[in-house]
Amino acid sequence: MTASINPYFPILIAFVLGLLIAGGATAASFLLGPKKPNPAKLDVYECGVPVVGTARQRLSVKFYLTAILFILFDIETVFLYLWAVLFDELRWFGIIEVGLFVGTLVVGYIYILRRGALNWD
Amino acid sequence: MEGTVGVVTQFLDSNIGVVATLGKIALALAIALQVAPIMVWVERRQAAFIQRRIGPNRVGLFGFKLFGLGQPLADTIKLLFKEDFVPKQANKFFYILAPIVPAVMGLLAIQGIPLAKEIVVGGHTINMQPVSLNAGFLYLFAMSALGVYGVALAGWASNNKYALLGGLRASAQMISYEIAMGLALLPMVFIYGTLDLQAMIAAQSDSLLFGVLPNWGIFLSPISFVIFVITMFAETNRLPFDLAEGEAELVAGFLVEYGSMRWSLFFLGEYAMMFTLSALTTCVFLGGYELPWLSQSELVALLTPVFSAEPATWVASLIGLVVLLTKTAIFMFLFVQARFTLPRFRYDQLMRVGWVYLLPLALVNLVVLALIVGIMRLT
Amino acid sequence: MQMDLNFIAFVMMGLAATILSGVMITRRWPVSAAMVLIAVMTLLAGMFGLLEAHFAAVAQIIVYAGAIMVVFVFVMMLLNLPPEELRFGGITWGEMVLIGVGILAAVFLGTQVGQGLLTQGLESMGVAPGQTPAHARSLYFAPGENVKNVASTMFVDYLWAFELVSFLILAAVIGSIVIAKKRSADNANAA
Repeated sequence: MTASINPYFPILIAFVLGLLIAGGATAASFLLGPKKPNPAKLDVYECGVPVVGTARQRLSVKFYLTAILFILFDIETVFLYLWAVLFDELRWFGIIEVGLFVGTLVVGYIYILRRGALNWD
Repeated sequence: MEGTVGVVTQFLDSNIGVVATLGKIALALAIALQVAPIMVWVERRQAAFIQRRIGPNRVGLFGFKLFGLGQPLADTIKLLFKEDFVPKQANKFFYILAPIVPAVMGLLAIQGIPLAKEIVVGGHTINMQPVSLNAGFLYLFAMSALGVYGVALAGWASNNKYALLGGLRASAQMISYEIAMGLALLPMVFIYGTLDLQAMIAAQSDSLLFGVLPNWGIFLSPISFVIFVITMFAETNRLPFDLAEGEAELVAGFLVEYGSMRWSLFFLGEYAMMFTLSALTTCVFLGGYELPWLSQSELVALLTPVFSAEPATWVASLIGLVVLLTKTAIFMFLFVQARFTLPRFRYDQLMRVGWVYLLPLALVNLVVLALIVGIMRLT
Repeated sequence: MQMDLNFIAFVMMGLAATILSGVMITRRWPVSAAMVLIAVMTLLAGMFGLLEAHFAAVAQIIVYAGAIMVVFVFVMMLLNLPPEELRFGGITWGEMVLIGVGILAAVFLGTQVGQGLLTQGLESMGVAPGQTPAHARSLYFAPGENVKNVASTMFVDYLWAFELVSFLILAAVIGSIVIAKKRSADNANAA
């Protein structure tokens, strides 16, 4: 059998190698490309017309709501994965318990739908 | 000479874990780095055939035209020599960091794919999956969750209102479909009883459905398969879900201020993620690296008289790798085909599909499958 | 405490996480601080992994670094707060007290005094130092099967908590919609 190395060791190696590759590509482009800065080239791109206003403006709150709802459903998914690995051991008791769990969240989901929180535009 | 060979084998033998890991990572990285150039060529040629033209077929190597396979190489060289600029209004540190995030996450995600079953070298059995955690394929979800930041960061760091809007929209789209993606794969966990991809593939070649079909996920849970494929398109920002990077809409969306190698790093990450998700689909739904009616152990048993015991596993693993790549190629082909066939979704339609259609469908699918599997297995 | 690779990696990660936390609170741009916090969360996940809490490690990345921090980042980007000016003036009395308390806590926890009190507390619960408490010690599966063990502990020992979590989430859903809808009723939308 193989020697048991820490399972996170490959992640570390792959991360370092990935950084080297991506960083190397960036560095290569930096070294090999010409350097001819020009105010028009470095300006903000808005299809070639002069820029109107800054980028720092206030945006819709729907992004925030989408992200919050994502957290909540993500947590639900993580709990469901915990149940799924023990499906055979927990048998019907587990199915009913998780059914209650999902049921409560479905109530929340229906509330979201009825309130129109997911309507974009 | 004999002495050095002995020393080398001694070293390899005692550090087989580390050496095997390095080898597997190198193999996975090699595949990942080849996917982007090949897909660039495939994309342009397939688009051309769909649009009744020929596409790049002249750039070859050493005087041979080679159907234009030298095109990606030429593109890469061109991109390397382009001017590398940082727009004056951009946040310099994050502008440079932003393309590195999806590239690194894509390269990390591909490490979680089982490339073959196992090879036996010098008495050591090596599992051909570079990263094999106790949490199984949740590792892949973790990597794609972190990949969202590359897009958001790129949009914000460019300090361009269209880039910011494109970045936020792309991030919101990616996180919306991640829920449906997770819920779609959930039934497969309790159907096969494991999170580990190698165990899932082994379970798929164990038995036969109705005595005829292989025990693949696509036959056991087709709705999960459909949902997962749809979310796969949304996660990688590919048409019909590519509003945030669509050329006609927000110029190039969050990419608008990026050029040369930074731009190609984004696409390296995107293609690597496409490949990883396609490979995940084949592992969970199509039996991974296993041939349909011939499991790996049967294959090894067949090959052992021809080669000896250990090289038989190497050959079987090579065949497994080829099978995996072929099945994954089906989905890569599907990606390109969908891109040039379907019109693009509007953003509100896109978000509605993710939250209002796919999420409840995935939940209903989960409940129904739980009940069916419960009745079949527990009574 | 063997001096093996895992221990070295753990210490280095802990050190990096502590230093990055300090870096985080001295950033001028809010988005920079959020990004550093993501790095800290990922390092924490790595430390969980080294402690063989494999499920906690992956869940930390999926939920914390991949969802909660996304909310942070979205909010920072949506609000477009200007960079803060670092204040290099004098230090207030309250801040000095807080720093003193922090140093005392670190010294207390790290030295023999703190360790001795911790051992006494554990023994009063019937646990020898280095062991896990009795109810969590009922490992239903082999020690390596961390996900199954976490799941079994949750469904057997902490079932009520699990069900209550669903109500917590429901409350959070309703609360966030009420807040967001109220805000958007005042502002002009600019999607």
